[in-house]
Amino acid sequence: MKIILSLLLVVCFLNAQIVVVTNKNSQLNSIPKEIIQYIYLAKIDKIDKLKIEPVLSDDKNLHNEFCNHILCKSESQYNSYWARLVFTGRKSISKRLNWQELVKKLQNPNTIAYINRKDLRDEWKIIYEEN
Amino acid sequence: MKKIKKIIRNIVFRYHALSILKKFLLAPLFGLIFVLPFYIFIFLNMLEMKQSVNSVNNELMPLQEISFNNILLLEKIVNEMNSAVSAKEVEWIDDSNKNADKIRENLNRYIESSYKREIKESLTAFNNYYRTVKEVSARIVLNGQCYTNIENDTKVLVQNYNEIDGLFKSLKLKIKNDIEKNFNSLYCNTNFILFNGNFIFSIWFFISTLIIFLVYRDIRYKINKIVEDSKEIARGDVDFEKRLCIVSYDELGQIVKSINMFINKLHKNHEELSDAKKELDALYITDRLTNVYNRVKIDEIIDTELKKKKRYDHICSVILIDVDYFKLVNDTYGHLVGDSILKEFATLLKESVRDTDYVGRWGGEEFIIVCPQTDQSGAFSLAEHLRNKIEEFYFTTAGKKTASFGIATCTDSDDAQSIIDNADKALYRAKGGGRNQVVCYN
Repeated sequence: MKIILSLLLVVCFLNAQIVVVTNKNSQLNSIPKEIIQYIYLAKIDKIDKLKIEPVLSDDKNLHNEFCNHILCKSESQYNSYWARLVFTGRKSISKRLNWQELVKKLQNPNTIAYINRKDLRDEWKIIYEEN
Repeated sequence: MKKIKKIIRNIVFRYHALSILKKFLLAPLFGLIFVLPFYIFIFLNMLEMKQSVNSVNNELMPLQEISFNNILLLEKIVNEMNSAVSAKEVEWIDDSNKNADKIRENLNRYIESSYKREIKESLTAFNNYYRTVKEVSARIVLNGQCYTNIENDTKVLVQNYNEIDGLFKSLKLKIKNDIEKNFNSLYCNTNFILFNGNFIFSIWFFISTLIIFLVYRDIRYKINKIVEDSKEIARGDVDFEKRLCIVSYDELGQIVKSINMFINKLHKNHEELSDAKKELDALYITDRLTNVYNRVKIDEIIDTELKKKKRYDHICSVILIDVDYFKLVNDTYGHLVGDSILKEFATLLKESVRDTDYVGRWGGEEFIIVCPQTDQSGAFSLAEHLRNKIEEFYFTTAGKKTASFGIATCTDSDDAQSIIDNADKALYRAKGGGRNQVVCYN
């Protein structure tokens, strides 16, 4: 029973729902998944002429989840992709932020970040949520 | 100024000394001389073209090749780094060293070319980039993508990569542009030379034609001059003192020389002939013994005087003179003494008459004097004067002699025959009247 519970817990934990959020004051509302992929793979950096700054979390699990579910890529794929961008001189790799930094960063209205749904705060709003 | 004149004279002299063929050959020669500067110009142009071709062949083409090569090598390095990072193998990073060495070698080989600055810049930028890429790759392989300084590192790397990429590409572009420029200049030069070739031909043609025309004019002028001068010499009484005068040493000059020689010969012959003619003329009208006019000339003179009488009413008189007792002299002293007396008598007459009178021997011991514009009394006083002179003269061997005079003055009805007859009649009367006297006819 304990094992089942702990498994459930693990599954629950592993499947912790990821949401993409931004500041509440942002003009951004809902963004489709493709656009989020484009932004995090540096294919676009603007939505409706608004410069978007994507923020990465230093939480490896969260990052892996994000890669797997939202970007639909394995982590190594993601890393290779970004390495290629760097070596071909297109885009530098952003620093991964810890929670405090992330919270601070999200005070900017045009910053977006992926977080666990349970970490959602009042001053943020969800712009993408996986069903 | 004087010097210039001298030079021009010298040139004209040299021109005249040329044969006609050489004169005509002056045309292409001068054409060439005028065209020569253009040829030199074109030659210099060709040299420039050659230089630009050489520069393309020796420098630009290999440079372009290595610049392409460098871009490919850079791509290879990027790929190798990428795969090393993706595979997380630190050892793979050093695999690209050989490519980097190749790039450095390529750049160093042409460091002394005309792209020295760009190549040096590229070399520095490449070294910078390669160092960075190696460091950053190693760090990413070791730490993954979540170490703290990754943003800065990758930013620098991206910057360096873009710099070296830009430099390589700009070098390639520059070389390409220079090659294009060279080819364009070749094209321009070729066009220029073609255009100038036409121009040169035109100038050559124009100058040759002009000079041929001038030489033709000169020769025509000389021929005309020869013709005119010849006509001038031959006009009316031939004037052998004149000569053709053309300063020229060509074929025309030879013609002139020949003609002048011919004229010289003619002149000489003409002078000889004239002298002979004068002599003959003198012989024809002169009495051989006494050196006074003979009957032929006297008849002519009388005719002329009668015509003058008719035309101008100029009176004239004729005096017939006969040496008294001349036959006696011949018989006594011989014909030789007679002849000498006749000579002395004629000389005496010639010396004593007026300048306008004509003395002639009429035959045997008879002499005749034609006195133009002299009436009977004039003729009479002249005859008296002569009679006295003769009377006083002492002839060689024969001593004193006298002569009888018969005078006839012409009238409108007279002719040559009648006036002589009249004078003869008067002379006859003078003989009959006792000799050594003057008798007028009428």
